[in-house]
Amino acid sequence: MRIAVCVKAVPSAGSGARLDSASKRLDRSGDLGLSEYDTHAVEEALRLRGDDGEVVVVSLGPERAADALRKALAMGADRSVLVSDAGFEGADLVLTARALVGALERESPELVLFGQQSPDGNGACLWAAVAEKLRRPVVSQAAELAVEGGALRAKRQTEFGYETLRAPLPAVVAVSEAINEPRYPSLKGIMGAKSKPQEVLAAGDVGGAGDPVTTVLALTPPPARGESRRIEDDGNAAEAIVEFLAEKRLL
Amino acid sequence: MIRPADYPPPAVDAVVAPSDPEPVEVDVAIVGAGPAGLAAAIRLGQVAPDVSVAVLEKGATPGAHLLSGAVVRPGPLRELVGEFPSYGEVQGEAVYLLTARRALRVPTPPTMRNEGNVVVSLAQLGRFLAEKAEAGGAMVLPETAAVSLLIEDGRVVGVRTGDKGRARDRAPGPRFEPGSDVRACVTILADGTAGHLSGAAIAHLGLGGLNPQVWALGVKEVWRVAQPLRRVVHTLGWPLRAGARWREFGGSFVYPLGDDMVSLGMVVGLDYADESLSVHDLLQQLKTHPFVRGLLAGGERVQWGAKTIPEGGFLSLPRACSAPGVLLCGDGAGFVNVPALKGVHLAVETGRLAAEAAASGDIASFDEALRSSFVWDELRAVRNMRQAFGRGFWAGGALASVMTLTGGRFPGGDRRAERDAEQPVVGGAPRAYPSADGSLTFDKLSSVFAAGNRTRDDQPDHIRVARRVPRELAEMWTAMCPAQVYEVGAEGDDGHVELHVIPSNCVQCGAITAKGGRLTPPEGGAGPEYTIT
Ligand SMILES: Cc1cc2nc3c(=O)[nH]c(=O)nc-3n(C[C@H](O)[C@H](O)[C@@H](O)COP(=O)(O)OP(=O)(O)OC[C@H]3O[C@@H](n4cnc5c(N)ncnc54)[C@H](O)[C@@H]3O)c2cc1C
Ligand SMILES: Cc1cc2nc3c(=O)[nH]c(=O)nc-3n(C[C@H](O)[C@H](O)[C@H](O)COP(=O)(O)OP(=O)(O)OC[C@H]3O[C@@H](n4cnc5c(N)ncnc54)[C@H](O)[C@@H]3O)c2cc1C
Ligand code: SF4
Repeated sequence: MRIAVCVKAVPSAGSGARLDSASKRLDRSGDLGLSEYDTHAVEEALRLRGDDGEVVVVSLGPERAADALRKALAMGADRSVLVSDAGFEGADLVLTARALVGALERESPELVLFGQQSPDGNGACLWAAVAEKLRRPVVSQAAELAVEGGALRAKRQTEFGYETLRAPLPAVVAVSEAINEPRYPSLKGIMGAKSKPQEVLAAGDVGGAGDPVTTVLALTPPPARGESRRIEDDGNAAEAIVEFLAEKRLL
Repeated sequence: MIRPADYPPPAVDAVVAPSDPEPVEVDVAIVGAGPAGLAAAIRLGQVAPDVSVAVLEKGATPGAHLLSGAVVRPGPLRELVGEFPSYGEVQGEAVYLLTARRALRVPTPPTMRNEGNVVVSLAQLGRFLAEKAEAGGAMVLPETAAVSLLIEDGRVVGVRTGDKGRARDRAPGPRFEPGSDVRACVTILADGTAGHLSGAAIAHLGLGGLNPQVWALGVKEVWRVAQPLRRVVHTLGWPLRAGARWREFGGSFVYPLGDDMVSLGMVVGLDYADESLSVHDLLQQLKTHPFVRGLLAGGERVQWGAKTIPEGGFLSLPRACSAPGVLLCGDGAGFVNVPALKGVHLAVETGRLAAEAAASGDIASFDEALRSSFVWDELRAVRNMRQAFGRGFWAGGALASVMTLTGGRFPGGDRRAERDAEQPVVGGAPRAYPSADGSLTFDKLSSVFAAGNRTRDDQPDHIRVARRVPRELAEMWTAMCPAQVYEVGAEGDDGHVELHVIPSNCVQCGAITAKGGRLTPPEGGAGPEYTIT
């Protein structure tokens, strides 16, 4: 089975990435790493790949995102496709979806996997937009996934419990973090990643860029946390907490 | 009298025989993607492009575990790679002696002069050098810790990389990934300060020098500031204590990173005595000084980190830096010009020479090459000043100009021929550090967060340290560790306390190796993710 996994290169923990108030965009000048959410999608793809299958990771991002994609290759993905073009800088949901769909259409995978959300943009919506444009069924929050006889079965994690869905392939699935434990790249995997095919596409290869359809008008930092009280546990912490909650009429 | 050395850690065996039926095989294996290891890789690409080279780095990316000042002598780097990313040449400099309220400018001693030197972020430089090394054909392999030396018939034949995915009790977890043997004709150890494998090689192959190695601990922060700092600043004196019995040698540096950032650090020799000394908290205290606070006015902390510096100098260098199959370079071997507080240029030069020796096929030629290089002259020249400089950069470099001002209270003198862990612990004079306000001063845990640390909580403990010790010692380790790894537990019948260890906080600074324990490499990819230190 040919599986495409959409993965995002996101600012890594230490980079202290912040919103740039001038451009109203996330400052991505620091290190980029593979989104942890997306490692679950890569793992699931590797598990479902089978003997004659292929896993290709697809991403829209700056050229430097190639290093993050290599992590997916080190885990075992077969090759990577990076759409990188100045025309996609500051892409919004619609534009990002358009770029990915352009790349996915060149691959015609039977299954497209996504992470549930990105740690930076946090939209948790891209998979829906991509599925819509591809006119494919979509399942989100998949905590279990199986493929049998041209269809998939997915157990969806919801606020109220699980639901099990069946959908014909080709389809789009966003996996939840509960679905698996992503593997560590082995040393041989890390060494081998560099020589795997890594394609870079320009806007023209994916049907052209365009203007974002949304504009960020303003950015405001979250309101400062209100007054807080620190309760040190000297053996009576539980009581002190109860007292505090009662005082605030929260009990 | 309590000395850390009397409570040794459980034995660490970092030497094994090859065992992997399918080892990874390369011509040259380099441990550590710091300036030394990357210079070696780059040089191999230049002089021996057909030689296969793997650089193993435990950090999540090259540069993730690099932390320095850093004002760098640019010569060796320029010669190797041409231009490199920096914040430009030093534009001016000043040395101040601090008292609790005042800052007295003192003349800049010759060893502290920095004309022509450039300011860099080593974390950034490491990323640049790694790209250069890869462009030259080397494989740079991050998230890969070398945990043991492979030795066969008395010869180093490579290293073993660490397992991943073990649980706290060391049992293989669901995503266990075993390490590999990496077999190499030549192994270049460039694992930096308190290097696990350099230490193992020196001990196992009998390469110890005249004096044991000693260290200082540096804790630093990078601040985004409102006012550009146009010069390099060093301070000494407060908040360190001058009394001889305290053996508190160190000071601070403030270096400009362009117009809108500064790099600010506090460095203290780890032979100190005071049970309550915490370099992290001294740095916090330093920032409350009107002079330093002024430099940071209107600013915001962007990163924090900690790392040790080998301070033994020439007399602590290994007897030889080559042995069958292996070469030692950079901080791992102790190549630091202590009076100048500079090691980057020496790391680059010793890495380059190691590469040339490896490429020549006669690795023993490395020691000869070292002896005829500027490295040897530079370090030997300051060796004889060791009486004054034995206490490191500040006490040494500034001593000459400060003695007069302090009326000779700054103890110079005795050489650090004893291990840091052999210095007795002195208690009973607890320091009062400022409490963290979250904007100028910070506690250890929020600082560990600002290092981008992300060590999996449930991985095996990588800190080797005695767990039942006198209270004074447990207190000392607790105060010393910048990352809040230690906590003092309950007292037992023997009067000793339990030492609790929270290894996932560790930023791998190496201080515990100096002060009576042993830092070993945790799972590859764990630890801080420095980007601008
Ligand atoms: C502060 C801020 C505000 C924004 N506001 C808006 C807005 O109002 N309207 C709007 O349209 N856009 C907005 N955007 C941009 C929007 O977040 C992204 O452009 C869009 O791509 C959705 O990405 P996400 O990170 O939210 O992805 P999510 O939908 O959270 O990601 C889900 C999954 O999609 C995949 N994925 C995500 N990004 C990529 C990629 N680049 N390449 C490949 N796969 C990927 C991954 O599998 C990921 O796990 C904003 C961005 C920021 C930083
Ligand atoms: C606070 C401070 C300020 C300093 N200021 C200056 C200055 O202003 N100017 C100057 O020239 N020098 C300065 N130095 C010294 C300088 O930073 C060092 O001399 C230099 O970094 C040494 O380079 P290295 O490559 O030998 O080691 P490092 O820079 O320590 O690099 C070693 C690398 O090896 C990796 N590694 C270690 N063990 C393993 C393992 N087992 N497996 C895999 N990887 C491993 C580490 O993660 C690291 O990336 C300062 C140092 C400190 C701590
Ligand atoms: S536990 Fe880690 S961070 Fe703490 S002193 Fe030891 S090496 Fe440094």
